[in-house]
Amino acid sequence: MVNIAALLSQALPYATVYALAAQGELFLERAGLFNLGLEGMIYLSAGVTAIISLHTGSPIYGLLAGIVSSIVLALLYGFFVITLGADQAVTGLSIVFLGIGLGDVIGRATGGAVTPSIGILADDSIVVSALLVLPIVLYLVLFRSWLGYVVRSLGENAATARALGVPVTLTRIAALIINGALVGLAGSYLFFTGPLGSRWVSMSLLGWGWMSLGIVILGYWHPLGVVVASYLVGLLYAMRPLLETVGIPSSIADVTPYLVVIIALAVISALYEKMNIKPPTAIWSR
Amino acid sequence: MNNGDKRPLLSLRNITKIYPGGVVANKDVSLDIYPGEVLALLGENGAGKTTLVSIAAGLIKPTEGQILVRGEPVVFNSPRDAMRKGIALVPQNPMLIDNFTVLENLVLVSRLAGKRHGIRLVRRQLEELEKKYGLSINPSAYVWSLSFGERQKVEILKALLIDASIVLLDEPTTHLSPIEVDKLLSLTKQLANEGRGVVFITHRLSEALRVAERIAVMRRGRLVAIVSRKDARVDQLLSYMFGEERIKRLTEIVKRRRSLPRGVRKDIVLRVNDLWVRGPHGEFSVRGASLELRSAEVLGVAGIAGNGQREFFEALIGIRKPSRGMISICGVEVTSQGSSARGRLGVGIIPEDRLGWALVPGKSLVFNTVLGLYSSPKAPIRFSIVDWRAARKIARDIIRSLEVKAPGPDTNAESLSGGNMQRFIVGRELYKAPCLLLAMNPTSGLDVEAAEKIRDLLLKEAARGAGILLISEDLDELVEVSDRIVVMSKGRMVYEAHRPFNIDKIAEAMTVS
Repeated sequence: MVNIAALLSQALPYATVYALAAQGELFLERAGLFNLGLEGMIYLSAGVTAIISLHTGSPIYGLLAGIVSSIVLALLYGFFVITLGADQAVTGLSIVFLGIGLGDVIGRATGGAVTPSIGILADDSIVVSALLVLPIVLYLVLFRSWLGYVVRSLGENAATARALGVPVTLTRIAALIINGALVGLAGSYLFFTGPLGSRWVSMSLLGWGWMSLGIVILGYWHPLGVVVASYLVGLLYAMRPLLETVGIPSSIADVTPYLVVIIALAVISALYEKMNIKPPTAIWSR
Repeated sequence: MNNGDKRPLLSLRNITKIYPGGVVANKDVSLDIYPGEVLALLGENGAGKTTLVSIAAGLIKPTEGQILVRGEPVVFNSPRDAMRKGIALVPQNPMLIDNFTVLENLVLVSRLAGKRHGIRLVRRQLEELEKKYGLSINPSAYVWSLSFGERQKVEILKALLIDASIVLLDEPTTHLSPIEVDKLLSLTKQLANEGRGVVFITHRLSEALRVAERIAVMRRGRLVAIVSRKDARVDQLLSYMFGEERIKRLTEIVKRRRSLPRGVRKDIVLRVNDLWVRGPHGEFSVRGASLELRSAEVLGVAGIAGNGQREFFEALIGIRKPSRGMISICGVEVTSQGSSARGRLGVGIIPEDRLGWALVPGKSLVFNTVLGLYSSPKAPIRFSIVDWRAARKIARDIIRSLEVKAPGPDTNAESLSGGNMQRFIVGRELYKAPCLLLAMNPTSGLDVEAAEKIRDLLLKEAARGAGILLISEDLDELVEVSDRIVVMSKGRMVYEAHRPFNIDKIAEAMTVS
């Protein structure tokens, strides 16, 4: 018999990484930018967290440094896209490679030593409440406050927003900082609680950013949708060993979350439209 | 009104605007707007009216010149700054966020204008404004679901919500029905009576005379005259607007047109039967439209913008699939076929969007000729290979015969003026010797002379024997060139009129039903 409670609890760390990164990306996409670089930002943040935690002996410093490094990458992305007018897709992919390369160099410097960890990150009740509070706050900000209107107007029609007097650049820089901070937090958290637990192993923390991008779509650019989607995908991840016990080869079990996301995406968009939840027009113009 | 004892609310001093590329949109314009007056800014398309109010509203920066609000010099870096000084622009095409509700749009603007209004307060104010001005609108409706007139209402509510002391209305009557125009004009006067300064931009002389105390006339970026209504004479205003020379030329064009021969009507070239087409948001925009058009006939489709004309046109030219019904062109059913099927049948298409739909910007006229003729039997293509020499000759012939002002066939399509662009497009479509010509707002945005030339070309083509379907928002144009007019309202053909036209009846059908 499957232990449901254990499964739900195992899904939590995965869901948290996805939720943090996807909420950060959602906020940015609502402001009309599309940062493909999450993968690199998460990886760099994990690497920086590892080395700073090791050298200062304080995981809190590590966490903060990880967040700052991710914000720096987000702002670098903003510099290329906003200031220099570079293509968003190309810039985003460059950020992926830059983040992974840089993160690996930094992470390797720890030599694989186990670093101190932050106790509360392993406390389920705290993580669960963070998982619930963050989307509610984001929802209230984005959809129930005028600040959210300012942000979302950029995702709908930046030209009109500019003509209305919305401070476009300033708002987008703010959105980039929030994006960087949440994605960086996801990277740090992943380092502390991830598969290897506070120890750097190169190339072991890949795929999280890409999946988070998909989760933004699965949650249909809505904070509450994103948290549900994160948990579902987290659950699929946690179920992989289970699939193997019923005779499904591990290689297939590994790709199951991705397959399910692809199928769910196709099915679910119609449902969201019925509920009058719309993606930002600038991202997905029909 | 005596303005002598009042200080101007808004003063524009020696405003000059030169766009990158050297186009002089405004040249040394000085203008004062006083509290309690309606000032009409009169001029034809391209005279620089919109540029001037955009400068006053902080949308663009003047190259030279100064703006004073209540005598105090100001510099606007953003529309926000202008709103905070009490200046509101109601743009010609509403600038609203489509996926926001009316209320969300209004809250956004009120915040940007520096008012510390919460969502609940804005909702309450909206109810008050509704009572006071009769501007009723559902605050939780999404903007995309609103008609053009309703969107404009939201724009006016924006101005009232931030309690603007200066309201700039840019061609506010363009897309309105005659009844809505009446309402708007009385609202404009009401705003002025409350002590606001109102600028009413128009290219229609009759509107300027109806609404304004003073009329400022612009021509080619310059302010040529300011006259008060009681001293205004129509012929004089016209000569200010167009210049003596051009008025003479225009009169001749119209005289010549009246004497054009008409072709003989024979076969049905376009038959539409019970057509249903969905709009961009999935709702039905065309709901059972039917019509027939014969060769050598000009059939006008009148209607207020947003009543399904766009979707109807898109279905006719084969880029939007109808859900139900039938379209047959020159006897061939093409309902669910694409635009190349139309091309093979020799259908000429003049879309509303000149750059983007009709011409590819950044590409030469030769390239655009080949692209436009691609599926036509007359295309300069042999065994799937483009014959560039033949294509260049066609482009050169079009440029010569239609007097397109372009250095040559290799000119970038984008660099032509609107009128020349449209002449080239019409020339290319006529080269197909079409049995059917589908045109949507072919003269929108053109100056009067360029527009007259396009109308001439359409009529000559009808005389040759093509059937012409002309969808237009300009009722005067339809009355001028059509043999028959159908009125489209809420996706249906609700009224059909024959020559001589009763304009009141047509206008009524556009608004009622």
